Amino acid sequence: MSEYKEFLEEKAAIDGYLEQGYRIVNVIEDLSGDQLQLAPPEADGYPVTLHLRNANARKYWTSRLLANG
Amino acid sequence: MADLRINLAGIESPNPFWLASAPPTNTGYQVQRAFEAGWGGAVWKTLGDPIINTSSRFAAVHYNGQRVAGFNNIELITDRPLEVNLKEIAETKKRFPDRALVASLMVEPKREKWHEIVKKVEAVGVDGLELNFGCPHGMAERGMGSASGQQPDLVEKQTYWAKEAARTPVIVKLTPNITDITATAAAAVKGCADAISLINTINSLAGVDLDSWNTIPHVGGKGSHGGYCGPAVKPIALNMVAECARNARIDVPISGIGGISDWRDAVEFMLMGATGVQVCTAVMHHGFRIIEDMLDGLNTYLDRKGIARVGELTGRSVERYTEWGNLDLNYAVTARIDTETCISCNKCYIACEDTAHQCIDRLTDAEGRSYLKVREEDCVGCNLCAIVCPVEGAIEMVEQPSALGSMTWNERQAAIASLKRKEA
Repeated sequence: MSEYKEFLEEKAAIDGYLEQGYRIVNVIEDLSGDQLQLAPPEADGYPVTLHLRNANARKYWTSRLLANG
Repeated sequence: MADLRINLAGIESPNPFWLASAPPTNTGYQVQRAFEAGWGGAVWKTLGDPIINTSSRFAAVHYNGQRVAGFNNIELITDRPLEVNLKEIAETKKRFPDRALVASLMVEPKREKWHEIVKKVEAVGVDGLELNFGCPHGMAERGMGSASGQQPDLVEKQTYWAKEAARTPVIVKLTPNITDITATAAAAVKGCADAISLINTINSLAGVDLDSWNTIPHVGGKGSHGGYCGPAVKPIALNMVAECARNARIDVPISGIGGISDWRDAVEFMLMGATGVQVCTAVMHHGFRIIEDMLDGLNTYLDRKGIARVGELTGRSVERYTEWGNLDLNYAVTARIDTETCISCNKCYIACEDTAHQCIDRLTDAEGRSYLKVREEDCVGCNLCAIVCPVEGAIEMVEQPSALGSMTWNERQAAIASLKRKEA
């Protein structure tokens, strides 16, 4: 898979959760990339962790975070 | 015609082009001929206890047909008695009172030695002094030149000693043979230097002869490291000048040196913080009269830019030079190949496929002609294809609009740190 397609997939996952009201609450940066932790909008929802390997995707989520203050 | 006069820490000259302390400024005959040709100033070849030179002193690196891409020398400071040099300096200053005449000095790191030479040299009417803390060969083994220039405490102390006796501005010439040149530059400022000049030459061995296995150059079958200069060192020098210029601790004027071969190079150094420049290798390659093109080119450039005084260039690009962490990660360029001018040599394809990001496709059009096309979505904007392309303008790097705002690495890491604080 091209890196661009990998980026689109990971971006779509980030966008999808953010559109559902998930909030970025933490990240663990390690040798495999970013483990992005998102909290659900509902109190009884389940948190999710996205493993972002692509450099542009790792750049993208922080741009979204900065844009949202 | 723009005003080309400069004032470097009180040393005035009719234009920003000086000859650097080196073989071209060895004698009054040479310096006076240079001034006749139009040079604005000269730094006299380093004065000190006269040395003895070797025979076979210079070597050059020629690269792919370009003569003297780099230049190496193992010549030392003046080999003539001080009084001979002083007599010629006085004569030269008398003939050319409007030119900047600076004496380069190197003595043992002893207070009385600095006082003695400063007083003797100033007595013949020089406009300033340049302390040579940079020569990497010969003198360094005797505790002078770069040997003392690599130690910030010695730079500070010796600058201070020179300043104790000096009545004219003191420029400290720095060695690049050090990890961080701003450390020694700051030490020079602490020692009350009026200006700094950089860079001196870089430790080097020009080559080894494949038949004789001798070093190039060699002295009767033995070689020794020399000092490297010329066009090859310009990027190193430019970075060091810029690093000093943007460092708040280094608040003195800069004389830029290192591979400056034409007026364009000079403008680059001035934009990056130099008040004026010093030239050596280009003169050794082409002679004093290159000053004519340098003056014409600079004048034309300033007129085209609508700049009245050359001094307005100094430092104008410094604020654009920063740490990597302040660069915008969301800025993007991608390559675009103009198929009309492309000669299908495939240099870009090979470079991208073998050593970059494999984002150029070799395609065939409806008429069966092959052509190259960049897959822009996979292009990271590394510039390699445009760099290796032999046809000027056939590959353009095009800015891509971004829906995302600017974000630097430092801003990204600050945002992540803030996230973690909230989480805690």
